[in-house]
Amino acid sequence: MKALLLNVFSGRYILKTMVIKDIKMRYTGSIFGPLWLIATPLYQIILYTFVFSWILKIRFTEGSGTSSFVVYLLAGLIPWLFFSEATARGISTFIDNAHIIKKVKFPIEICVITVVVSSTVTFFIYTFFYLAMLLFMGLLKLNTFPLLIVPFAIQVLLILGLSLGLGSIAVFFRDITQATGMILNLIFFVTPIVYPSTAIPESLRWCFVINPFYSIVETYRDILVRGKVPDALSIIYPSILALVIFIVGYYIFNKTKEAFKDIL
Amino acid sequence: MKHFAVKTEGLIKEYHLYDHPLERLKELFLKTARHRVFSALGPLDIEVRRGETLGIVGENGAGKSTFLKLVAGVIGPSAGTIAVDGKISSILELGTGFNPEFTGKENVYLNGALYGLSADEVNKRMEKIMKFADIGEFFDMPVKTYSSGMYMRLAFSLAVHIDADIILIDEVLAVGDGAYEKKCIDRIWDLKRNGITLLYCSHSLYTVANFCDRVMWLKEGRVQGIGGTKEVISKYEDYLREKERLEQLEKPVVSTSAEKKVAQVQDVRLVADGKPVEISVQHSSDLEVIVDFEILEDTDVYVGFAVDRNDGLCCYADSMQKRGIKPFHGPGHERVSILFKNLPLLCGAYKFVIFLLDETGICLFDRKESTIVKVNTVEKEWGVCYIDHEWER
Repeated sequence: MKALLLNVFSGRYILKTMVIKDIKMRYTGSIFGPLWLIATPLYQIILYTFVFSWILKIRFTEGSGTSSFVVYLLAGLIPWLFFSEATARGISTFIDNAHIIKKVKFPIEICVITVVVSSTVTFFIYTFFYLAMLLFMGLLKLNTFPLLIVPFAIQVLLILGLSLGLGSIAVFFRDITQATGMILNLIFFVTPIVYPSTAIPESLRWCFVINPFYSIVETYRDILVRGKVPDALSIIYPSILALVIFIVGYYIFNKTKEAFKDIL
Repeated sequence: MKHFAVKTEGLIKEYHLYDHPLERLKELFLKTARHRVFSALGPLDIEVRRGETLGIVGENGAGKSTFLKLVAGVIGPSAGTIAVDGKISSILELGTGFNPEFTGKENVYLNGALYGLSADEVNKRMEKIMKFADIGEFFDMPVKTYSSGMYMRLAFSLAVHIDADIILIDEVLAVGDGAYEKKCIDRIWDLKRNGITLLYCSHSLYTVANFCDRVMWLKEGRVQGIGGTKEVISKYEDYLREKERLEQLEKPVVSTSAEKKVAQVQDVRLVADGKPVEISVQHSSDLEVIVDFEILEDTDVYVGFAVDRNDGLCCYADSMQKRGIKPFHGPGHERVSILFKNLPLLCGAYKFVIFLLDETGICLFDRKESTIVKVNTVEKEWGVCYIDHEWER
């Protein structure tokens, strides 16, 4: 961990430039430029709102803490999008940056950090719009707001661990990047994001228990929607899991980094 | 500061090759070796002194690029150690880590950061980099629109402006037009004078010979020769020519000798300054070629000779009838001697080919080659032989 922080510090200029590069990359060559950074999240939020509250007209109250399904949905969807985008890109980041890794020596952990930082920027833009929406609807709860750092930190740890570990293995077996998409898709549907948690039959409850995203998503909702302090017990499991995944991932990365430079 | 810039001890680079990715997975879990080892480099022990320019020559796949990559630190050694003292900048395999979507300028920032420069430090150098690259408005256009020459110019300009202590150049000066090449070479000379260490790898032996203080010749990953530029390059050139000759020998040759022997060369000996020539002979010594031959029939025989370099280049050829010398008449044993006063041949490997011909010079009775003789040169001249000339200014 100390080595990781040290490497990140020594490569701070690289990190800064690479993050700027990564964000710029999304809109270079486009007419509207940086506007897309804002337009995409705004569009997504409006689209979901429109589909769920105007077309499907889903409303429920039980256990959700809100009568608006969109408020409930976005509180889970936005963190999920952050996680899935960052993980998918993080796992292929060594492959994507092969042209640099092969030419210049630098702490290559930076590639993973770049993805996390760059995805966080998008996440913050989404969150900003979401909070603006809550404010507009008069549902903004500021008292629990600082607690957001807890589920966010757990997510970052998870993304780092998965990206470093699976990303290293993916260099040897490209299958990993393909499989990641499928597995992320599966997790998306076994987590109550687009449906209320009450919609799951009692017999399938165990899915929620082993799925760390259930707790993470519910924690976000507690803080943003219900305005209550999340249950400490419910975040112990995802925290420990994230820490273990991070340690294992970082270990795999250190074990394989010399070898995968050869075959990039 | 240490006295060396790069030092390796028992440096080895091997690659594990798998027939299928699945084999790698099996090896991982079953702990049984399922790979073939490809030895790319080593073992290699070399010390590059600070401020030295080391040329690296060798055929494709000899390990030149592998060595530079190891020095650059983009790959790690399989065994042995490599110590590098100083900041490295490199132009490996045509180009640095450029992102094709970004403009030249943005790529300079990115690569500057990769080499450890902050944005401020890059800004300070931007003007110089832009000026040196000299690619005009393309500097602000995406790199994907560049020609390979422009790409190289930018990469080169970047590499020589980041205040590195050690610069690695892998076969790049060949790209670009003559005028720009001159500019690059001038810049490298400047850096050399400022005490930079340079590792230069190229197929252009002429450039290597002019640039480098020392040359290392790699063959199949191993050092085949290391030392003085002239000496190693000439060995390497001999090797290349010999190889080319052998390749040509494999092609079928139409036999020119008559079925029934009319005359036959028995021996070709070389004598220099009164002593038989063993392996080598000094440039500008007196070399005598003594030919013993036998004529079997009642006919005229003329003797001719050719001086061939070992790659087959004919440096000079002459014969008795062209000089108006009376022919030998058989049958009987004969001896002829050809004296080369002040042998003008330059450094290289040569052989003397003796021909026995009829009066037309077309019918070849027999031919025989002398052993290959190496000519050593003291002067730093370039080419096949000394051509008499005088300077005036």
